[in-house]
Amino acid sequence: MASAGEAYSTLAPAVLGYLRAQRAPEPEDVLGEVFLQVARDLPRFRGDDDALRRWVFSIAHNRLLDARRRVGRRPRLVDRAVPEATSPPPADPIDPDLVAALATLTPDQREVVVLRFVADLPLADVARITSRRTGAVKALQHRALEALGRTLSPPGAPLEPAGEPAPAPAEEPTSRPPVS
Amino acid sequence: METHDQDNVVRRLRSLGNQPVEPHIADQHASYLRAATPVAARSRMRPLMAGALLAGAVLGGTGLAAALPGSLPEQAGSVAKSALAAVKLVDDESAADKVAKAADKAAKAQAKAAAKAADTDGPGKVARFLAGCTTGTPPVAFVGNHGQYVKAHPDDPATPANERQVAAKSDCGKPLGSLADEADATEAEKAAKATKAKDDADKADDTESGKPADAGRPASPGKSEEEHPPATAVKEQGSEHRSTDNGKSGGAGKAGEHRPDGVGPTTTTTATG
Repeated sequence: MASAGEAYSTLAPAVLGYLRAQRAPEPEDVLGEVFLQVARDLPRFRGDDDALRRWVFSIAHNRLLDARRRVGRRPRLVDRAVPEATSPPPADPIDPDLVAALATLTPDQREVVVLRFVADLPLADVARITSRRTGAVKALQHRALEALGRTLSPPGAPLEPAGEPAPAPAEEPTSRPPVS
Repeated sequence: METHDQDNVVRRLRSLGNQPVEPHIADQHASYLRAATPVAARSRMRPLMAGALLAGAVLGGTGLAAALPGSLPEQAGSVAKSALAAVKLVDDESAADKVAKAADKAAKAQAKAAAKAADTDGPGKVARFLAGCTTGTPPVAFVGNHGQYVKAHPDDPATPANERQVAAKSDCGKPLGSLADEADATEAEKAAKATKAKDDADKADDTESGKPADAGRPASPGKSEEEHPPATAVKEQGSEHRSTDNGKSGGAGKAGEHRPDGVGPTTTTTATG
C-alpha cells in the first residue's frame, strides 16, 4: 500500500461492515477515526498487504472499544426534548436479518465471526487481535456459525438468543426455501 | 444440510464486508486523510532526524577525541592521530613541541622589541645623537637624521641668527659612530684639512682675479662661464649643497667657512673630497 488513500479505498468497506456488524455507535465516525490513525502511522508501518489488513483491523478493534466506552461514559439526557433532525435518518443496514441475527450471538462469538468473515482475516490473525488461542477462536467460530444458521434458516421464525439450545422442532422440514 | 446453511451464512457475512462506503462519507474522510498525512509525516520525522544528527556529531567528535590519547595501541594511535590531524580534527603536535614553539616565539618577540628600542631612526637601523634635540614651537623631541633636523628649522636669512644655520651646526641626528670618529681624529689630520681648505680658498681668489690658479700647472682649457655660473647662482647652489652636505660630512664644511664672495661651494667640495 503506497498511501492512506489507497488503504482506505481497499479496506474501508470491510472496516465499515465490521463496525456495523459489531453494532458500533456511529460507525461512519469510528471509520474516520480508524483511517486517521492509519494515515498518521502509515509511514512507520512495514509489511505486506496481509499485514496491513491485520494492522488496520487491530486499530478498528481498539477504536470500537474506545467508542463503546465513550458512549458508556456519556450522560443520557432523558429529561430534555429531542432536537429536530437536520439530516436524513441513516439508511437501513444492507442485510437487516443478518445484523439482527448477529445481535443474538454472545460478544465473543460475534467478534470472532465478524473478524473471520466480514474482515476476511485468517484464524491466526483473529486469534492475535482478540488475544485468544487459535483453537479457542475456531471453537467460537463454529458455535457462532451454528447459531446463525439456526437463526437465519427458518424464514419468518422468531430469532432466538445464541448459546441457548434451540427447541426441538415438531417435525423436520422437508424443504427449505432458498436463502436470498 | 448444516454445512449448506453455514456456507450461506458465510456468504452473507462476506457480502456485508463488501458494501461500499457512501460517497459523501468517503469524500469527507478523503479530505481528512489528505490534510493529516503530510503534516503527520513531517512532524514525526523532523525531530528524529535533528536528534540523530546532533547525537551523531557529539558522539563522533567526543568519542574520537577521547579514544585517541593512549587508548589505542601505539602504532594504531599514531596512524589515527596523523589521519585526524590531516583533516584538522586533532592537533598533531605533542605538548613538548607546543612548549618549545611558544618559548621560541616569546624569545623572538623579545629580541624584536629590544631592536626596536635601540633603533631610533626607523628603517636605517643607525643609532643617532638625539639628546636635547627639539623642533617646532612648542619644542617637541626630534627623531630622525641630521638632514631632517636641519630641514625642520625655518631658513630665514633676514634674522640675525638663522635657525637653519644653527641647526646645521649642531650634531642632532648625526650617527653616533660618525661623531666618535670625529672625536678620534688626530690633530694632524685636522691641521692638514685646514691647510688644504686654505689652499683651495686661495685658488678660488686667483681664479676670480684672472690669474692662473696654479703657475706650474697649465690652465684648464675647457673652463668657461657656462661651467662656472655667476656668483649669485653659485651662492644659491652652495647654500643648498651646504645644508644637505653638513649632515653627511660630519661638520667638515661648516657655515663659518663659507665665504660670502661665492666661492663657498668650491671650498666645501674640496673639504669634503
